[in-house]
Amino acid sequence: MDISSYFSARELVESLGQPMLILAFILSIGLLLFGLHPKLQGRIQWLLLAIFLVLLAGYGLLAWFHIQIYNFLPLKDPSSGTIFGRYMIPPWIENEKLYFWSLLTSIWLLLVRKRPVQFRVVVYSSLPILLFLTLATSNPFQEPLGSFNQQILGIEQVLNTQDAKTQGLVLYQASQMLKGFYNSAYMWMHPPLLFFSYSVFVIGFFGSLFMLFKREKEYDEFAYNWAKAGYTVLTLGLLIGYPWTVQAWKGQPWWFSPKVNVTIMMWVLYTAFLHTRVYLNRKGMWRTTAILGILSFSAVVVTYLGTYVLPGIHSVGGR
Amino acid sequence: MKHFNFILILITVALLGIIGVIFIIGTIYGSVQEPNWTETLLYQQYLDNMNLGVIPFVIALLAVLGLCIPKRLFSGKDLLIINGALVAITLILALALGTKFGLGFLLAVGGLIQVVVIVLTSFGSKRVRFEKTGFFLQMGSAIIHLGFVIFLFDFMILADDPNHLTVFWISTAFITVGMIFSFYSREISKALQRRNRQQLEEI
Repeated sequence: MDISSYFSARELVESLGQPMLILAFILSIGLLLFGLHPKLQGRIQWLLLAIFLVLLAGYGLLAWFHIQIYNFLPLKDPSSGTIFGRYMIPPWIENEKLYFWSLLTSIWLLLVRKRPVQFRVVVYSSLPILLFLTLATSNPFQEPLGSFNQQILGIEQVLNTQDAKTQGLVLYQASQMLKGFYNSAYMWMHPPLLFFSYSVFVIGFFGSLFMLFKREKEYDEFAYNWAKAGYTVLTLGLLIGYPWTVQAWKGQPWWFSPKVNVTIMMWVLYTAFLHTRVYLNRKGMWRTTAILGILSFSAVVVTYLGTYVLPGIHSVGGR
Repeated sequence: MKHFNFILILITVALLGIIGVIFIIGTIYGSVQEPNWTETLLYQQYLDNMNLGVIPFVIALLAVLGLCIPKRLFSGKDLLIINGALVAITLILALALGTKFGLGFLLAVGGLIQVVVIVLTSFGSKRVRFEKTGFFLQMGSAIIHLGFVIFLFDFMILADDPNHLTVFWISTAFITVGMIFSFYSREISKALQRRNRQQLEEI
């Protein structure tokens, strides 16, 4: 392990990434000001593009950090020099999740065009909220990959101070974690698909909200179009989590994991939301659909918060 | 037919609601326990109680899914007779050979009927009944349901089978393709029409 190079990369990520995230947040507040000012409304797409580029640059920095981890932190037996494996950590774990979600949302906001300005401004408000939450609760540039870093420090300490037997045991445990969790193919598919769907649901939620208050068909269709895209990806993401679960929790009753249950309930709510459209011509069904759309998105929020609150394998504290 | 559909939807919603309430209670109960309680006997007791509470409703949900499938091919008296026969055989098998076997039978029959529905739909047969019109929408709906039946069969019956993963990926592919067909049927039809028109113009 070239721990000093790893630390240098970590420091660089912290020092460059923080200003980028703050800049993206300030620019996202500008979205609301641009939307409210008639003379600036024409330039709102450029501002959105600028925010997306800043977020993308920050994400590039995180990806670079992950490549440095791959290069500098091989799991190597110090006595024989045998390499057990290298960390290929996808850039959406630990405190990178909300940033990834924000980045995806910034892309979808670029697509929300040709809609009434009032509606667009409300939809745009999702980005400063997401970025504020990222800054306040899940900043990927403040102590990047904190839990992973703790593990690495622990391994490094054992390799420097303990006997060969203990070293071997710790390296074996670390290699199991590397194969089953960090480098798992499912880790590259299951979480990004879920965050993709969450970010899409954010946009659709505003359609349901406006439908409830404005009662215009345009908003119902807007909500439906975004929800069906999110739902397809959500279903695929959830399904891909299943064989991973069977593999990782063999013999354990994973179906009573609180996070799994909350997620399934979210999926059921979206299923109900999409199915109500079959009966959209029934009296008052538009209201049921709009309320279901709002409830479904509330379930997305609860599901995400569940990562921090509910115990179990999905818990941030547990990893 | 519409009446039957609506009743099935109401039953499904009621069952999902009950399962949801059981899960919420279980989640709250689990959340307020000591951090290491999963390593205690109390946790095993909790799991047994949760299983006991939830399994009847999960079985009922699967049975409703099994009953939903024949409605595409049959209606009126025929539908009632076929569903009645399916429920009776499932119950007999479940009592004689176990719940897993009974449900496996129901899902297998459901899967076979769904295959017939897909074949008939692909040939544009008027024997199959759907709430909505459109070839890709109907095909999508049929493929999604087949995917879910295969997924549930894999989940319930093949969890320890060496082919479990292969079957899982087949079901996932069906569900995803079915959703794309179903949700984007209009766009797919338009794209195909555009391509056909271009080909005709070239000729």
